[in-house]
Amino acid sequence: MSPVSLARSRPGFGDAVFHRLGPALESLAALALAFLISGVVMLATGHDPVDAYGELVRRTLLRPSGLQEVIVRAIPLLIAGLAVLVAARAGLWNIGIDGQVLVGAMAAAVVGSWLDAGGRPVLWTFAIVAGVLAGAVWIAIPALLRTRWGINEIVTTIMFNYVAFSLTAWLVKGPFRDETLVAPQTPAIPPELRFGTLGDTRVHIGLVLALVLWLAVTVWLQRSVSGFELRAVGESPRAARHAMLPVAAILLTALLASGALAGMAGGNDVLSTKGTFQAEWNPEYGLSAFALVFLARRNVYALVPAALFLGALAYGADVMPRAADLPASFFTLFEGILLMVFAVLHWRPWARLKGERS
Amino acid sequence: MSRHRPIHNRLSLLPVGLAMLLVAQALGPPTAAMAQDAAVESVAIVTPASRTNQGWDQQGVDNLVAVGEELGIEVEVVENAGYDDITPILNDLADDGFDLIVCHASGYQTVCPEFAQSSGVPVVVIENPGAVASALVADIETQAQEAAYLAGVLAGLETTTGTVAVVVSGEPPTWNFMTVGFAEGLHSVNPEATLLYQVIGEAAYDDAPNAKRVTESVIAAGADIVFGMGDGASFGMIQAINEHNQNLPPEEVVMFIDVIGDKSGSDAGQYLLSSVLFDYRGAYTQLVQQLDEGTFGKVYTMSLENEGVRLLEIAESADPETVSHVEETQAAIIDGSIEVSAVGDADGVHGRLDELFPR
Amino acid sequence: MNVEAVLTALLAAAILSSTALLLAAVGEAISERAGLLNLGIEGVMLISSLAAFWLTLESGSTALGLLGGGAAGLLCGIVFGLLATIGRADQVVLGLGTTLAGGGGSAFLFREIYGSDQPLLAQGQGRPFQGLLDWLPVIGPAVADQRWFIYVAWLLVFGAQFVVARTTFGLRIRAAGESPFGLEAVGGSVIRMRVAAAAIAGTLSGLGGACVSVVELGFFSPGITAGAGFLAIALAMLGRLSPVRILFGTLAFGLLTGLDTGLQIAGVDVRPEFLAMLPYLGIVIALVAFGRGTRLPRALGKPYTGIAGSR
Repeated sequence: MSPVSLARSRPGFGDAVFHRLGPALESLAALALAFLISGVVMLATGHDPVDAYGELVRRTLLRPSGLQEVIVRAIPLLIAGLAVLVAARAGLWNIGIDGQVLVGAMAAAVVGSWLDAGGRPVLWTFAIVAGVLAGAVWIAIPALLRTRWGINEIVTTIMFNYVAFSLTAWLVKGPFRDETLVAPQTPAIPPELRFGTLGDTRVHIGLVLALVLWLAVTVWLQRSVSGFELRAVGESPRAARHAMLPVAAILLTALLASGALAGMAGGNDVLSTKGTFQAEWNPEYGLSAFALVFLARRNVYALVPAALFLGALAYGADVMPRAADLPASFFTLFEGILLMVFAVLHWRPWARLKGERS
Repeated sequence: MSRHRPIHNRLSLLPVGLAMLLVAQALGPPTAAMAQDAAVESVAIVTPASRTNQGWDQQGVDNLVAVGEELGIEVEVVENAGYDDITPILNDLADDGFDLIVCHASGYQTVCPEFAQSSGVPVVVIENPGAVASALVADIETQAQEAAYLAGVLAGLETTTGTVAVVVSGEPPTWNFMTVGFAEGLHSVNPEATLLYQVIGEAAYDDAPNAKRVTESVIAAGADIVFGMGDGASFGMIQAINEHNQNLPPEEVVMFIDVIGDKSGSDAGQYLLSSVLFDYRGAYTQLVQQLDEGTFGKVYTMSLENEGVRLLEIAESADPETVSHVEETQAAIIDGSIEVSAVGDADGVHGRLDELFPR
Repeated sequence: MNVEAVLTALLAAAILSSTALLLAAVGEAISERAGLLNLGIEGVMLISSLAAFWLTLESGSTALGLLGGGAAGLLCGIVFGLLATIGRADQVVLGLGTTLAGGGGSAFLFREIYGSDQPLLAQGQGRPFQGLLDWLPVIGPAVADQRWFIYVAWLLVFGAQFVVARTTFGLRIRAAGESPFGLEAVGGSVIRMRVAAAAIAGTLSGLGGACVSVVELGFFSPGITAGAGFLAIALAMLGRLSPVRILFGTLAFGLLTGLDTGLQIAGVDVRPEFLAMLPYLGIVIALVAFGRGTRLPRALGKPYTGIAGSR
């Protein structure tokens, strides 16, 4: 009996349970398989996988400081993930996240450094706005090229990443440089004026920002008319055009929003942990943000736990080299294996039962 | 919008709820601050790139490991930390009770002092004298421009074509100091020389392909001595030189002056004229002592005088007169009769180079 | 300063450095023609680069090393093709995973094998046509004095152009990407064509990666391709998936990168960061000038689910 005929003949309680648990089980299965494959690689190269995984879990999840660091790491990933998601739901690929993060961060850092007399609310507001605008401006040209002339945004956004890296470096070494320091960076925002920490923990207010953004995007995509239109365009541009939707304007909005969110991710980093923008800094959230969106199966609700998971991996890559003599490159390998397993473990019946494209 | 909310939407909130539970657990009691021991027992070093890149990172690591062995101190290495926020790493080290953390990159100049202030764990930073704080922050200044000056003198005397190239993989302060020092040394013995200054790219420390390409170009432009600062990218430069020199008589080969480490024994050392060596052992030893004695929190300047920087023994192919001239110059710098400018920022470098070798 | 020598060196370097990019871009173009969007080229190139380097070091023969790199790429390509067709895997996710796995894996393996050593390949490849075109200033030596693999690469590119444009096989590959149902209707197999295209693409990317470590540089270190895989994707799209157009695109890109160096040598007082932007802005401008309304194969990126649409 094929799953499709199952659905048509007996939709019932068992079906609904299967339906709900399915994607979660699938994700867990993929995770287990990825751990298994990576474990084999570890064994083949003389490492102890049990010990390593144990250390990883202990350091990231089983101690409060580790969990806090994981959350801190997850915050910009979540925001960048929202940026990718917004574009992806409209059927577009914003590969320019890296560049938008850089210009957003630089703008926030510069504006923030100008406003250190104004107190925290003023500084935060203007710095965040600066980051958002910078990110949107940075994606504007690729966005316009795409909507007006159909020039593929994958290529243009990639190119703008490289340009952003050079441009921000130039600006930070030149007009925006802190002259009192030797290594090029913007004047630091004093620690008292950055995102404060929540209570006694290491988690900072950026968490609130990230969750607010997540909520806003969720409401927009799932509950608003413009969000619905955006998703419609993503599902089928042709049908949307037939329905007289202003496709070009919607695509433009999606990309601009995407760029703005990415810029905010950069702003978050500057206002929380870095406090300054440095010429050689490039966190390269883009790749992780895409991985994040795929692990969450482009579902905005799943974005939060997925961000935490990737945050744990990122933090693991920071501390595991010491703990288990596993270089950071191993974690990149693990992420890659995980994604590949995810890509393959596509439980097709789910897609057809739900009637969605996965 | 449909009035009928699909079931799976609500259930998907379960992972979100789970996440919030984790968050709640995370906001637990903070870890206790570690009490400071009187004697230093463990030191950690954080470097942005790989400890095997035969450059900046490796030298710091190897030197600290050597000092650790000699003083009987445990040494922990965190490599490939990049320029992202390293606070998690620093916190992790603090949690494990390290007595001192060496932040081996000028890019850590802000984050490490802030960490020291907030956690109480002493740190060592690079090139940031303004951040020193008693018992918390010490600073190492690499006055490599002095040794680079000697390299410039060496190049100026050894070049037969009159064209010398400086190829850099970026413009961080460490490279900049050396570029200016080199240029001034070159100018002092050979003011008519042509100096080609090439920046491979922005933070191109591991960009060997472009390093090779750029080096080939300056060789074509007539340079017969290349002063290369690259870390991993240096191998690209060296390969360009090795390839060019194949089948050439000894008088026509292009020579390389390296920085930081000593490649003379390896494949890469075939055409090595010399190297501006960084030796942190003296610095690290003294800083540990200061921490033990309670006088920690000052600037340590690596210089020709304390042998924190020095020129690697010059290749045998060089003219003996050149070698003695270099030795005399070294003595003059140490006794103060020659002063070398300390320029760390990129704009300053371009300005100074324009002054010395106008194009 | 010998201006002619500098120009020759810049042009020669542009040709050399564009070769790996060219091979990878043509590979990606063929893959996309068949409907497979492979974002994992960077990973494939890195793995093949390491394999080729290791084999050359062990055997002493660059030819063997290059073959090894190509074989590694072939394997990766077949796996990708099978997973994307029969495995119904999401191509974008699979590609991204390949990039991460290939990058992390090659760096990890390199460390495991060589530790802190950095071995260098001593002898470069031979230059079969050296000196033949010396009478033609700048262009002559730049073109004729290249290592033999560069010419092999050009032959492969022209061969690919011929196959894709003029043979039945090429027609079927294009059909697999343009109208898969149509292909099945006339008795072809979309799966077989896509896997074949992926295999070819993987081999070419593998050769590209091998070219970087064995021919261009003479050593391997983690991340040595420096994003060439992603640039290849961009150039494949810029060249509208046509091998010959891609050749010109990669060459132009290489020249623009050389312009950066040339201007610095000439002492032009422009900030190096600004010069570094030029090649990338160049691609964007080229896209605006030549790339408007480029149509990619209709079935690109979509898994083929059979005539009936569901099973």
